[in-house]
Amino acid sequence: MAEMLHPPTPPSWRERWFSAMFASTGTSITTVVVLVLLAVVLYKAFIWGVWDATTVVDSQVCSQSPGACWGAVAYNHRIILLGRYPIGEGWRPVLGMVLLLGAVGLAAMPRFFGTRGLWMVVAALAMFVALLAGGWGGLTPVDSDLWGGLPLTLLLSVFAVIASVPLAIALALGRRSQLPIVRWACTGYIELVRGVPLITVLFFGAFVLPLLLPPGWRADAMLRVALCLTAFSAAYLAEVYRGGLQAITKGQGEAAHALSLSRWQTLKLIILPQAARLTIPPATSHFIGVLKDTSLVAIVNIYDLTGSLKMALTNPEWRPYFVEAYIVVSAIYLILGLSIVGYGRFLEQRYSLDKR
Amino acid sequence: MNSPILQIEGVHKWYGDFHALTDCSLTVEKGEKIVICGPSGSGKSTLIRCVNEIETIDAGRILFKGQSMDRSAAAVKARRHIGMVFQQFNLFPHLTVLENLMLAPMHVLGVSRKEAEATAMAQLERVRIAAQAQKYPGQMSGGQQQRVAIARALCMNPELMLFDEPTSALDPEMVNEVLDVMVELAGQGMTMLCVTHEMGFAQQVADRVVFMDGGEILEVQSPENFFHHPQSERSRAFLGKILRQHA
Repeated sequence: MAEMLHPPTPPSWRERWFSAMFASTGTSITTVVVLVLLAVVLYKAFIWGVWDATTVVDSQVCSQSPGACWGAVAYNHRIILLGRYPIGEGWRPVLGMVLLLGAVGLAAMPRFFGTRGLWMVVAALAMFVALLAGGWGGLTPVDSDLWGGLPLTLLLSVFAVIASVPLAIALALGRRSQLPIVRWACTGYIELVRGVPLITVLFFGAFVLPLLLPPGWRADAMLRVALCLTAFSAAYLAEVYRGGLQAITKGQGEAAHALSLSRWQTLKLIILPQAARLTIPPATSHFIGVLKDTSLVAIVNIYDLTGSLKMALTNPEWRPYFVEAYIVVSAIYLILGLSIVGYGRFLEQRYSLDKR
Repeated sequence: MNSPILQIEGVHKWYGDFHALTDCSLTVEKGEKIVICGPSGSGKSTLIRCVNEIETIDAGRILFKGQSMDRSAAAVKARRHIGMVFQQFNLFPHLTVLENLMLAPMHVLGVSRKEAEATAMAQLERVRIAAQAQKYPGQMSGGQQQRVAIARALCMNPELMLFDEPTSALDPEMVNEVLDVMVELAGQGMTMLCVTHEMGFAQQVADRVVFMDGGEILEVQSPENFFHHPQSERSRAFLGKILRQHA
């Protein structure tokens, strides 16, 4: 019998990479092809985006240059970022955005978890809307159809996320209810909304709903669109939470009952916290989806970040440089999306101890 | 003359077409330790689950300290003093051990956080697991988890403890640490209703042994009589199987 007194030393990362990439003739060829392609793409991107690029804000110079025209982005940055919001009032959406991001950032910290954090975000949302709308404290009133750009994207996303969570929980619980009417209603709602494209829901909210409602009931178009996004998000999120609820064993409810916790306490203290922890990965995914779904509101003449970008590109002088503008806007979405991903990972790690 | 702490009178329970409990009656005096045994599917667990209303009954009645357990507000209040320990522990995995113990006293009995923590630590001492107060259930062995579950029930200051096969999900080397706690509890005068296959425990602490089969209570005996002079055919067969295993 051979003696083995020490654990085996794991191979270095260099050995592991090498053995993974050049294990056989097939993998070696694939590795080489991929590396060459990657080098070519990076090289081209570098030449176009940096080496040959111009940063002068002058479309004449750009039309002579083979590289990227970042001046197009510089020239259009206000309309891309703030949409049609009146010139000279731009500080209002920017301040609102800073308030909202600040509140969301604070609420995301464990010390503010729970109602305190929630109220901060709700207050920031209200402040944001008040700043955008104006009409108080000497602020010029600005109609909601002039709101736009990145602030609007953030406003709609945060509103839809915050508002759809309670609705989704209610729908998920309703779908598991003992009462057939409640169960059918929730199932019907979820499947109806999931079966229809978001664009259809937005169209309905923006154009059809006002025709059906009596004139006095016609809410602001922006509010209707925000509610449509919420309603759409809630249907999907409800299924995410239902999955979480199903993963919780019957014994948890029985133990809570044996300790004389009421049904409401059992839900609030035992069931929902566990379901929320179990659904962090799919919920993260869903919230990124909500962020990106807001770009569809451009269809109903609301100019969020993507809508404002399209509007900026209607200017014939700068239209040829749409790639540059799209890259910048994509980068903004990417940064926001990665922040959500990073936060989801943080939550997963934070709650990794309490697994069965 | 003390009135009995628990009266089960003519209880029937149906699951669809299946008659799970047939005319079950049992009276338990304060401080008594009752062991309920019988083959799988005989209705033992169902019976004790009816006592604290995890299951509803279809006929008959159950009185705890004279209060009918009928889902009325008074029954809900009385039920606070019935503790239960489950086969699968059913600790709350998202809470620490200490939080598991403090939850119900704070939210149901309305005691202060400080008081709840003091009670919780005292009960953890009692089951010899105080050092693990800050751990999560998932970080503990089955035996430790079950002792935490017993401590959690004791934090509600129960007058009756129900045990539903508390050692059946444990690895053999952990059975005794849980039984020791139960024996100690019995020694301190707790009224206990235990569904268990641990016949050694039954012989050591039970005042009476209840034998169930097919949803019926067939025998209620002292442990001595039950183990040495089982009366029914079925209890003899059951004991034959179970004692050979343990021999």
